[in-house]
Amino acid sequence: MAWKRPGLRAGAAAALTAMALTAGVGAMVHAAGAGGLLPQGEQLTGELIGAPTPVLLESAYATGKVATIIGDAAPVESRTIADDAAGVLAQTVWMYPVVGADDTFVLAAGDGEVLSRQDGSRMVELLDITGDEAAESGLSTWIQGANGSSAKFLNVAPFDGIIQALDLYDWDTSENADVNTWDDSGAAVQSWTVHSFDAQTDTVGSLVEPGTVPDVPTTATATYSWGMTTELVGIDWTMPEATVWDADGVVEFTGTAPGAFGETVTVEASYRVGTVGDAVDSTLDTYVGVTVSQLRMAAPRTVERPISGSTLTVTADVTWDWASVSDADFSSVGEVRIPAVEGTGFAATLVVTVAEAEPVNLLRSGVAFHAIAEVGSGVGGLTDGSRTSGGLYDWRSGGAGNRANPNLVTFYLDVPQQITGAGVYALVDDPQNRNVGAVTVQYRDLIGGWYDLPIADGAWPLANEGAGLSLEVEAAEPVVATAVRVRFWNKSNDTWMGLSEIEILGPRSAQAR
Amino acid sequence: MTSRFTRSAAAAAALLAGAVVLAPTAASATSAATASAPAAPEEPAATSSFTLPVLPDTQFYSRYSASQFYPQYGTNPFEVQTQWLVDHQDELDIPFVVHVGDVVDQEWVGGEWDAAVKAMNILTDGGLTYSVLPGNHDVADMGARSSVGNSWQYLQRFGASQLQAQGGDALLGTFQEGLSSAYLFEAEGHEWISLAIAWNASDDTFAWAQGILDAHPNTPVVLSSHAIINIAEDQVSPAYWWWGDNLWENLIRGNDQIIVTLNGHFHGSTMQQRTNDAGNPVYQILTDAQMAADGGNGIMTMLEFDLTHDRIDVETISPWVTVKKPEARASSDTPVLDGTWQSFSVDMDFGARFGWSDQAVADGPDLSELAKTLVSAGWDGEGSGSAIEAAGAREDYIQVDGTIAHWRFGGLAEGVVDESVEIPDVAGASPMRRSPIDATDAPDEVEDVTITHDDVPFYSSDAGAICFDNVSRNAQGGERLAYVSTEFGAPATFAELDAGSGYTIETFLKLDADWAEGDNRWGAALTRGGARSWIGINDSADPGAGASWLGISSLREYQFSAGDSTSGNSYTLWSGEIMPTAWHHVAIVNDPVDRTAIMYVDGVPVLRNASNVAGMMAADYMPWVIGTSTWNTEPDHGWFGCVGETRIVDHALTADEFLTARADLDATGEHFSVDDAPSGELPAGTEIAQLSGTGYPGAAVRVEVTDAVGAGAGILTAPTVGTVLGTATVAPNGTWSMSLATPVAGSGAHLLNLVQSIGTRDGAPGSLVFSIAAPSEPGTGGGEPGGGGDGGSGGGSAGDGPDGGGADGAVGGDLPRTGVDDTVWATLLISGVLIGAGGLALYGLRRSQKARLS
Repeated sequence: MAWKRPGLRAGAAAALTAMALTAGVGAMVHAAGAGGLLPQGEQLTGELIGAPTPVLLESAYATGKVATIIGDAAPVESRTIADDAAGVLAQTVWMYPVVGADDTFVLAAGDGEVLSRQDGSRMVELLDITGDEAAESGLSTWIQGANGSSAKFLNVAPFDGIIQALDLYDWDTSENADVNTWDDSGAAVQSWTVHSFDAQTDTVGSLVEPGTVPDVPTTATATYSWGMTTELVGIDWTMPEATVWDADGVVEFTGTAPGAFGETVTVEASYRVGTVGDAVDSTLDTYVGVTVSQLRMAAPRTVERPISGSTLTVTADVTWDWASVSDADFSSVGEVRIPAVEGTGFAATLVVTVAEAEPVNLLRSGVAFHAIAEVGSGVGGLTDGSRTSGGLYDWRSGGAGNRANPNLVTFYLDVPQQITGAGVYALVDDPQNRNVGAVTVQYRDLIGGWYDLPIADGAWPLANEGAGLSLEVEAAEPVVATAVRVRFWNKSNDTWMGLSEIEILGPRSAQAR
Repeated sequence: MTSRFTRSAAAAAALLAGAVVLAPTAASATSAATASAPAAPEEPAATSSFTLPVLPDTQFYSRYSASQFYPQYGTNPFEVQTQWLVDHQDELDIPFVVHVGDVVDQEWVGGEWDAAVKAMNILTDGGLTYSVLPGNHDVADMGARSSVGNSWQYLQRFGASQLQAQGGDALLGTFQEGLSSAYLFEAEGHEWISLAIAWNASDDTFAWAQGILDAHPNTPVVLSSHAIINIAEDQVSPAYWWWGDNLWENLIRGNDQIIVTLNGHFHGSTMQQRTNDAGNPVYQILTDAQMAADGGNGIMTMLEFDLTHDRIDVETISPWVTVKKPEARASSDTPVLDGTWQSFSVDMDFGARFGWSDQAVADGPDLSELAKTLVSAGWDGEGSGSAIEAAGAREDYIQVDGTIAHWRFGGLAEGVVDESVEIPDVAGASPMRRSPIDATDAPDEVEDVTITHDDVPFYSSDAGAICFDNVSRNAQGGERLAYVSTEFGAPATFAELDAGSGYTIETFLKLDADWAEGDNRWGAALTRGGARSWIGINDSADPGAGASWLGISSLREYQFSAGDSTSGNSYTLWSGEIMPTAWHHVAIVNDPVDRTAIMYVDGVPVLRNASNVAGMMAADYMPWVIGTSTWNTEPDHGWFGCVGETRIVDHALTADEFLTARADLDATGEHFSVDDAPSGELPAGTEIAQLSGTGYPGAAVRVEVTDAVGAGAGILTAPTVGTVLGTATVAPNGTWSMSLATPVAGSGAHLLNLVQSIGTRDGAPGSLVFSIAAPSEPGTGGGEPGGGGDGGSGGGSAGDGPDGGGADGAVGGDLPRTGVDDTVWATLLISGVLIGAGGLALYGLRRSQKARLS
């Protein structure tokens, strides 16, 4: 059963908890107490900067790669995002907000090296300076702006009077490409996606009956915005009071678990308490004379069951009790109610409304089909609605010795149809339309066998004595067809054949076809 | 000098006439080989010999190196072969290596050449010289006679300058800038020539080759080319190849120094012996494994030229199978192949033929035996990880949720399938039927379709199959075929197999013994109907074909094709070459997470699968059909052969859920437990009349008495060995219980075996070993449970305290009679002493108070 629920996702950002600074490169950071994830190497301090936020700066141009602060020779390089937490931490850029200046940051590596633009150059460098020194230097501060939906980082100090943006050089998408700055242009190579360490999980929850406390899972998969996933284990839920489970409604609560970086991730749970009821009636409109085999194909295979105390429903598979009806039940106007089979576990009814029907030409009433002529062109004209013009002509080279005799036109139906009659016409005033001497109409049954259309009088092939052809037959009993074909023979080999229209009659359909 | 093969008089006459003497059949070859062993009283232990390795048709390794092999292994079979030769060149006395062409598969793809060059450079860097030549896949137009203009790609990598660089002084000369080449190498004190002739060599090549031979008379020549001899349909006998005959006439027959020819191209291994104008034998060897797993399974041939015993020993080995991942191994994988023409010897009196008078220095081991030993190092003899068991009953298969349809034939009567027979869908409501022959356009006859219980796939539990006979494109009255189909609009025809679900299709297939390419190519065993262009599947090659199908190609490869359910783009999977008459289990698994569609033949993934695809695009109402492909929804090309049970599932299955997998019935496994299993020493007078536990739903459980437990005083002998004391059937909820007709009683030791089974298949038994105390004298230690004070509820209640049995008492105390408790392992060690019939391993039974569903 699929439970329709609003698509909730845990929107809460990771609640960051502080931990003691750990010394030593490569030490993982573990959460403890209150505060924020902090650099593992050295944290910049100062009065002019605030606590840093860890981010990955993914290039909008070289997607999957992030600006990674490396070291002296090539201070910043574009590197493929690591797939493990330790690797990601090594690629992390720490954004220190500058006090009193909106959207202005000092950017540094985990070891405290400050990303700066070289004075008199577009190249970047790493400086071993204090937080305050950085905050006071236009070369070492960056304003986060927007390039469309991506971010850009503008160095505060202009170069030759022009503001410089953090730039993936040479439009280079390969590993270890250089990142420096260039005149702010809004280009894709200056566009960055800022990924914060904010793991998202699907909301945990399901439908539970009143009076049952669900078994809330203690694990979940959390995804970071750059694609990395981590398994949260041992989720510590803040369970609501037991009484909330006794009444219809929605029960929401949260839990926490450590993420891949030791940060605390909040997981949301939302359970719906309610009972699933019997199904809403299903309906099917059809016509007098429909067969049960057709209804079986057309009937819905699922039903909706309402959930108490809500407007929501559950979709459930259903099998109808076709043994309880026969073709005779649909031989007159009225309503037929078909229950779900015994053992379904809930009540469901298919209400079939039977209406009068008139035969229509299925080939011109929206029924999907594909027409193929064995020989000849113009097969589209056979269903253009005109019996006296257009149509199929089956000339081919070789003259009298190479006539298509017989020829064959087949109409393949996308959906099986009930056939009650057929019309085959050759009424264009030309020698070809006067050359059709005999016709057989066949239908293909539900397992692909071809049978003559049953007719009360006469036997196939029916001979055509007249000049043109106007053959109209009624099926002795309706048949359910997956295709219909017309085979036709000539009167003489002096010329080829033409047909102007073919009609295949069946009851006008509503839902059942 | 004539070969010492046993031959009939008639053949001998033919021999004298210089005609071709085809190689003996398998049986006679074996006996001939034995007969030709030297009759000398004592065979010299040491040998003067060297090994000449032959690399055949490496094309698929080159083609799939970057996409398949490197990502998984960081190398490929081609590199593993050449590295192995380099590593063992001293031990095996390898002076030279021969490659018989089809270096790459698609000569226009640069990456394939890169892979090939890298592998061949391993030889050069390792000090081994080689000869190589272009095969039909290495040139632009394979129908043209050899020319420089037709071989630009090949010559860029293996042209005269490269051959000179790797060959050095060994290179005697080249023709057509390197398409053909000749080398001189030394081994065992003599000179030898490797003469490599290009694919479809132009006639002037022969003149050049003659020049080489004239310049080096009386030097034995190993001649290689891509195609010299062919192989017959029986996959054992050699067959005619026009260009090889051309080569014979123009070069070989008149040059007695040519002793061996080597070629690939045709799939398989065979040997043909011909007699040249000098009346001497020329041995023509075909070796080509490209249709084996992984594009050839790393198979290569080693020729040991044994100057001491005057023969050439041929062995076929694979250094790749030990490198393969265990889950990729087939049960038939082996590092040493011993098929008819894979391991054999032919006589060659080198001394007489070439007038060598000096005695060869016999100082080495049997190199071909050594090669086999070396290549087998590290091979643990394990094929595929899990052994496949035959089923015990028709119901002995793993049922899975989400089965859309499962058609089975074993429940139908044997005989002709006419329109009255309904092929059941045991999982759903979509049976199949055949149309009356009058209603089919094809000229099929009623007896063309039959049900058999005889010719059935061994690893299908169904024990039945449907067979289609007389299938041919070239029959009187049009293409003759027959099929069974679900109804249009049957429930299975609404199956939505999309990128979220994936799917699994399983079937068992067999090609008729008379299957022929001209009559039966592209027949399909299973089709999902509809026409691709009407459905919206993008397939310009087959716009009228069904939504998906599993069939056989003109090269006898299984082909599965479907359309991605999102993009509609067609994707196709191909197996290696399939032999007629053999049954194979075929599974197509689309994993929506990996986005792969993989074909497994007998559980082994094929090489040519599809990635970045998901789902099977189809149109509602369109039927599932067994027996033919379709075109614009009409039957098209029939399957000539048989089809076993076929199952469609709406998600990706793992191998342990396939129709070839069996549930674990072991009493010591996860699907079995006994409640309150008796163990340790039970109080005197205990009678065990009931047993219960959990098991695999539908399985049978029986309790048997086995051999007496040990020997010696006080051991109770069972009434009769092997007696079944009680049986039960595991209920759908996974529980079973039984009453023993005769309760187990009597003081002494008891050993009961519990066996779970389905039909004739037993799981491994589990044993209960326990003893029942002898009644003690009244008044002694009565009422006091031995040892563990907490044994009161157990041991004490019978009123007899086992005396001196403190330890026993404690165990007795552990026996709970009431209440819920934790699971307790009663672990029993049964040594060979206890059971008369040989030592056995550790048995364990988990005892649990709660019934568990498997």
